[in-house]
Amino acid sequence: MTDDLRARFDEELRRAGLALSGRDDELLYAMWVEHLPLRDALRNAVPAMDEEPWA
Amino acid sequence: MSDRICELDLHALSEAIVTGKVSSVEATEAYLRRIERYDGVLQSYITVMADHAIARARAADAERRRGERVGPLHGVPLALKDLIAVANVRMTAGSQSMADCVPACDATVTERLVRAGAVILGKLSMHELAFGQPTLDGPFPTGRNPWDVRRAPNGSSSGSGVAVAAGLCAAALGSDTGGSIRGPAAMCGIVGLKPTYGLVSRRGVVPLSWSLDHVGPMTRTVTDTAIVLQAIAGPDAGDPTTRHARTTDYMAALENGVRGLRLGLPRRFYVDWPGLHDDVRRAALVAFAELERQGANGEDVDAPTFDLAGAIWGAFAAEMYDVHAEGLRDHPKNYHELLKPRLHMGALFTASELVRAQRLRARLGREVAALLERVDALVFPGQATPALRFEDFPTASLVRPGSRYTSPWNLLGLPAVVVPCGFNRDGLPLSIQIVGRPFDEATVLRIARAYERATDWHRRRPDPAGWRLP
Repeated sequence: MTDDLRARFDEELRRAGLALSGRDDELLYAMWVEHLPLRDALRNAVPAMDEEPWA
Repeated sequence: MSDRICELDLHALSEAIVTGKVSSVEATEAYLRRIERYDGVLQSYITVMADHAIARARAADAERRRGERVGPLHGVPLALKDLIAVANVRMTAGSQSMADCVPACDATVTERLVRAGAVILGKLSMHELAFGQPTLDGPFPTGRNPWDVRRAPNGSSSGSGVAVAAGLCAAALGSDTGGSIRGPAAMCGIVGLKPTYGLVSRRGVVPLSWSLDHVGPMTRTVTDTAIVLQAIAGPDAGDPTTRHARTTDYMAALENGVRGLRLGLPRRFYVDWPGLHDDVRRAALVAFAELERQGANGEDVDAPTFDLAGAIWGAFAAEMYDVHAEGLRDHPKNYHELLKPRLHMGALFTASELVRAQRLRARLGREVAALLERVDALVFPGQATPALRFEDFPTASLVRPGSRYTSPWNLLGLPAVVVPCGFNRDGLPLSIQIVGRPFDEATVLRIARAYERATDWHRRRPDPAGWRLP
């Protein structure tokens, strides 16, 4: 599970064009893991089709 | 005499200057002496503009002797968070990345304060780039809480909260992207207003997040907040987001009380939240009851999308990353190691997530707009806890759990003011928050003032005897 998370994190870093190492990588990974529940909540909340950003 | 000047609120000091009981030079020198004496411990100033302030105070006194009154802030010494530009004065935003920045022009809010007669005393400490951590060391310490110097004043407008509470300026400006005016105001026992998005210009203010940033007053009383807001609010061609700004006379209805107003208490989301400190819960409910006693009609209200506010706000870290992407890439050593992950998180959200956040932000806006058709304002605790010790400040979160009390109101751009509502057994300030309809600062301040005048919390001052290094 931890390996899966780490692989997902590395993929997100790659996609974002970030190349971090050492302490920067370690601290960002910890924050990324900590934030995952909120991110999942965002992804799982499905607005109705008529809910437009400018409404 | 000197300390007594510094204990006056802005309105009282302004009156004393207008009537000639105190000169602007006397007031400015009194503040400068107090800064010299206490700010080594409190660390609220990054730059003290002593010569500039004295020169401006002399000019204000000369104007008064000629019978001219420039404006409601005539000769009154104020200070600015160090991300608000003053021409030819270093502006650091609390960051090594801006350590050599000297803006050529004033920010619009600076211009407007000066036009209203204010004397700018200096630039105030803050969390790094308005998104970092409290710190006691390094080139830009963020300040100590004057009610207990072992505790942080919260942030990011930390120096603004400290300086106002400790009598090191008559009032200050701060900025607020997720609670950065209201947090330090609450922790320092003062009034802090995040105005409606688009009411106060941000031209000349270092950005963190374009759609969430607000600039507003931090003062000792609600009346003082109204006075400062009056000076800085209104459309500015230099900030297109202000083109629909609607101002009014913020003093006109301030003393009208709350009889007949309808107040909503978001009990489920705010009062019943297990993370809320008991001292805050108790004091906030007593404050709500006081407003009902004065004739307001209270009712419980709720919005289902409140629960997603933290998740939505977090996605806007994408805006924050975009502000700093080049600096992070080219000069990473200029950023504190605990700030970097908060900014880098913004690079990881996908376009799809950001659009989802925008759509949910709109949904939350519709839900709250519907609530604000039923009630005139929402009232709830100002913060989750009283001031924390430095070592207890959370470090690992992009979205801190306690930010639920403030960040939804940045997403929605609604006016939100915190006002002191008591002290706990440790002598730490507690606060309530009042949120209103867009551009209805007059009602928000009227409710805050109705509560304030029934209490004496705003008259209490922290004891300088405690301002010693622990």
